Amino acid sequence: MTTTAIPKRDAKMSLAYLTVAFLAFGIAALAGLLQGLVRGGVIELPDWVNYYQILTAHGVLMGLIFTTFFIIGFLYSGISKTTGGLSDFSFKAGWIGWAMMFFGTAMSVATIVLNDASVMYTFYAPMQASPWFYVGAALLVVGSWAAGIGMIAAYIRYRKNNPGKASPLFTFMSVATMTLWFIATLGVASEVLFQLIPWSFGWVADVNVLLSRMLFWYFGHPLVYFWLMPAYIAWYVCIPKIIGGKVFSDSLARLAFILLVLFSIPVGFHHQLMEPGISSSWKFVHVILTLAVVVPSLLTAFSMFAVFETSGRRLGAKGLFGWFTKLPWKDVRFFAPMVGMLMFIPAGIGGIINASNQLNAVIHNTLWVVGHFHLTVATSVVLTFFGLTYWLVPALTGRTLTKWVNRLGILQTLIWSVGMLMMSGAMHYMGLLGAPRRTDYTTYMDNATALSWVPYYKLMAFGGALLFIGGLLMIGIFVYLMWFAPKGQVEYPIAEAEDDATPTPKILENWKLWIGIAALLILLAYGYPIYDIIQNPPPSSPALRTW
Amino acid sequence: MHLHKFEKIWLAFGGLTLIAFIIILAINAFSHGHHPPSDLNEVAPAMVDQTAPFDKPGLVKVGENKYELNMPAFTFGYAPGEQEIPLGAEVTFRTTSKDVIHGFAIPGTNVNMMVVPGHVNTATTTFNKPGDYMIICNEYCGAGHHMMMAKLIVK
Amino acid sequence: MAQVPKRTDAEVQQQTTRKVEGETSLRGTFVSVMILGALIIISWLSIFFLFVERQ
Repeated sequence: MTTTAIPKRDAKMSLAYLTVAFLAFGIAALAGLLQGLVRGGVIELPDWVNYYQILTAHGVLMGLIFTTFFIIGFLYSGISKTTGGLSDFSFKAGWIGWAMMFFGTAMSVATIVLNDASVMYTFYAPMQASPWFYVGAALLVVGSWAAGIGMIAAYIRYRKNNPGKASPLFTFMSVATMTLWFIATLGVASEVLFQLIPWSFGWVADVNVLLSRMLFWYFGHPLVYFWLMPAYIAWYVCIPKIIGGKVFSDSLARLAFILLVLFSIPVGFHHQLMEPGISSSWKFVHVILTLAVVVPSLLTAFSMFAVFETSGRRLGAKGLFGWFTKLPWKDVRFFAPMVGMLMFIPAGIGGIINASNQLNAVIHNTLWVVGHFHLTVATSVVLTFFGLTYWLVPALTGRTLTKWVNRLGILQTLIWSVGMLMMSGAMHYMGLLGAPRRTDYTTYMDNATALSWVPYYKLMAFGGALLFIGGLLMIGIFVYLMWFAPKGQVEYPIAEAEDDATPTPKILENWKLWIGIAALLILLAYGYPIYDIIQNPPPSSPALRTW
Repeated sequence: MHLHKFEKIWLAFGGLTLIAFIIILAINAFSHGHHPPSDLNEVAPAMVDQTAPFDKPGLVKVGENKYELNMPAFTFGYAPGEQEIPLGAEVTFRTTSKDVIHGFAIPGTNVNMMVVPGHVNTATTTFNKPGDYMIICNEYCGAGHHMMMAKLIVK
Repeated sequence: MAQVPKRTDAEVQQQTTRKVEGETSLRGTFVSVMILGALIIISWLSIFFLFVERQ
């Protein structure tokens, strides 16, 4: 008889999500290794597969599938934990969501494997993929909505059953994350359902390219916050418990999440700064709003350091930085996400630079950008997700994290970080020199500038190979914790508020207010540009398959 | 909601830093004219070869040391594929796409723009160093994307 | 959270004192975030000057 940290049926559902996540991760990691080696000039691909095909697979499986499945599985488990088990409705919604997402994923991946969708995870028109690629993407999004409805239902149920009480911080943050997701995916869903699907089936002849790009990036930036917010949940709620501390400030944590919902959406033009057809004034409006979304991350930085210092001092740390040595560095549940947090420092700084209007010209579409999001999502977020895996999987399977797996996990974290520093470092530097992203191995007819990049490509490939080893190790650890680790019980770490914490202001749970403000900001940033591009559409472009 | 004194200082410092960034960017953009490439002109992709100035791709002298280089992009190249530029010239690159989305970047300069079919885009730079430059496509455009380039010879 | 009793003035006073004491123990946090702030400014300016130099 095994004991799980949450009701067994809820645990099984979360594990189903995590299993798909790691399956996607494994395939994507292999694609990543091949890309790195091709671009480093180490190998050449056989005729039946091409670079852009595996690049599309890597981007879709890592960026959209691994993350979304992991996030929904994790959030559901925490909601079950903090609200005392899921209702039948939430449970069913979770499974319906899983099934739709799984089916959609299979459909899109099949078109990529058949080389009918080598269009990258951004699928910019007028390059046209198989219609089933877009249908699969739509199913993935709609499935995630079903799952999101189940989570929000759990939140509403808790509020109803506990009148006057603040909702559990974990559940509140999950609802904020899914609220952001609902608002953001409206953009990509409109693009796919109303533009790309009818167009790819041949029902309509034209596509408004610029409109499709605006709708995509309306979604594309909050997407990165959809990855980041679950990591922030782990940092705010789980890590303090692991290090023996308390939540630094419940109110500030909630405030940070509200700010993320408000400011991470009306900012998409900072991905389109180098683009024709959008006036420089509208771009500047988005630049200002983008820099506003830095504020919740500044809040988070302070809260994290404060949690560490407070806990360290409780353990008797002295001096200015004595607390730093008191942290449980040998506990992988802390170590992996902590490295992720530290890597968020250069990652976040890079983000501020990217969004800075004309400075974007220095790095736009260069390898710098790839280096940047491999620090944000592939290091800060992913190392946090790995850190979660070490306790989340055993908590859900009724097994334990053994000592040697803990040690292996620390090794995994080190391999991943060193690999990433090499790869991302090389990418950032090459980006400043102008090396393009999303490009097969080339020396541009032995151009001197392009040839000078080759040594850095090799460093990048070496880093990529290390990451692949780290990835394999992680999959091994997941499989072990899932099916082979000894039976037992591990805690599901949810930190409590400080004893003397002031009560959380009620206004923070006033969703009507926050969603209203979010809608206003979106209307301000996007209302006129989208109205204008629909009223005055640019000349249309015929569909093309150029791969 | 309680804010620690240090946290107030930190947020004020961070907020002011961000505002300072915005002001520097605004001065640079609005008073020095360093806007990101944001051309609002349009041209139908099928009509590029018949529409001025893209009907005659190439370098045009427009003033003392000032030039315009009209250079349509297509899968997988630019026209013209090679161009000489006089040293010290201020060149405005004007481009559009005949098919899918492309990039237009010159490593070592700030010329870096999206080429979207249906739209014209422009970027300006001054060549003060002689040598070979390349224009490369930095937005994925298909199977030959990594071959898509043009040469600039500054002398 | 369930039991937030009404506090007497004396208790509030005591609470405030404890907060003030608490404030002194976040020196390390403050220095850390200020280092972070300095890194943000230095990195941003270096890319800004790279842009200006290439213009």
